[in-house]
Amino acid sequence: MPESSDGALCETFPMAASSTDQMEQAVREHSRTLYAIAYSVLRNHHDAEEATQETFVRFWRHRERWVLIRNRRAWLARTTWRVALDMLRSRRPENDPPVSLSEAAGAISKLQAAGIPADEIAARQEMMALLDRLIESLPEDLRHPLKLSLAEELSSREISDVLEIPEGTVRQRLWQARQILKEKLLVLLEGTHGKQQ
Amino acid sequence: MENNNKFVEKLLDSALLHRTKPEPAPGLEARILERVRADAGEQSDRKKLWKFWVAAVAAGAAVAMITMIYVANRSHSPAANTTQAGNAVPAPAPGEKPAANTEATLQPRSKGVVAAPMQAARHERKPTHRAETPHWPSQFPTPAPLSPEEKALIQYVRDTPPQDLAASYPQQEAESESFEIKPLEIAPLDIPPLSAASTQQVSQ
Repeated sequence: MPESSDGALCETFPMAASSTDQMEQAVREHSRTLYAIAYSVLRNHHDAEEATQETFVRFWRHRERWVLIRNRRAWLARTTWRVALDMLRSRRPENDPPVSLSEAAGAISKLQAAGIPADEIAARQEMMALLDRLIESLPEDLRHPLKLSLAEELSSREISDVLEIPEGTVRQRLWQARQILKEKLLVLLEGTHGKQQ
Repeated sequence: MENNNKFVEKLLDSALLHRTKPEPAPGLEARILERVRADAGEQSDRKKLWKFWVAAVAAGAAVAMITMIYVANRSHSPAANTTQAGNAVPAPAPGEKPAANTEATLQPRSKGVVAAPMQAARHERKPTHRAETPHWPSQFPTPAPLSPEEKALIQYVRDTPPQDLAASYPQQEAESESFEIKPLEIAPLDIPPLSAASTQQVSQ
């Protein structure tokens, strides 16, 4: 962070040097995590950055109450999550047509039949599109913990702080979400196998 | 079936792992700090503007309050109190001439106090008009309230038609004219000259 290391905020707030240091430290430590969280919701780099910036603006405005924040990382993650969800709600619907599940599953089945390893198939665009569709089809209470866990490997404790639900509930929902994804994927692939045969 | 299960499980785990790494554009932290700095500057400007408006409103309220107090004090000024306390008006200043209309004006009975003009006595005073155009007394402290005799005289003047008052006035004048004051006569001093015998007595 070359631009910020010389105290960019100090130009505006010469008297709040300690707050500025803390702010810069928070940006250094958490900006990527928050970006990942925002991206997991918005699936758009520009919007994810906008949400991250907005989160830090709010964080700066709350500087007089920083002492009351028990877990700064969780506070920032929760704020980012809410900002991203707000942006998602206000954002106009995308014009791109959603990927057809059957087409994506057919492509993966072909790759599987060709003997390509699962790791390689997983990195393919078709698989990413299929996974996105499957995740979006999950119920909201399962989708949110899964997205947060995928975003930046947030722990169950941190996810529970963000979503304000018990940690045990987070673990249970994550397990349920994975099970549903697996079942759906299996059904899709078996269905396309049957068609191909 | 078992193989398919394992494949799907592995595929899902790998896909979820691949999905986790969105990379932001370089310089994200600098852009965040710049945005925060810009927002803080805006907030500072907004605070200054807000303080200015608060100060302006407070100053305006203070001015309005002072004006109201000043106007209220003027409407309860000593001039108003004086006229309220017995229809008395202040005596004219030393250089001032008394009112020309003798019919409408009473002669002063006590020093510094004159009776109210007849017109003023007949027409009730309008407090709003007085508040707008207050006249300050030329005498301070203000005259004392009217005595019972003065009030009785005012009542008499009020009740008596002006013609009768005018008719009675020349008679008083005639009476005063018939009484002539004779000029004083002082006898001349008669001092006798000193004689020789009287000077000897003085020397002894």
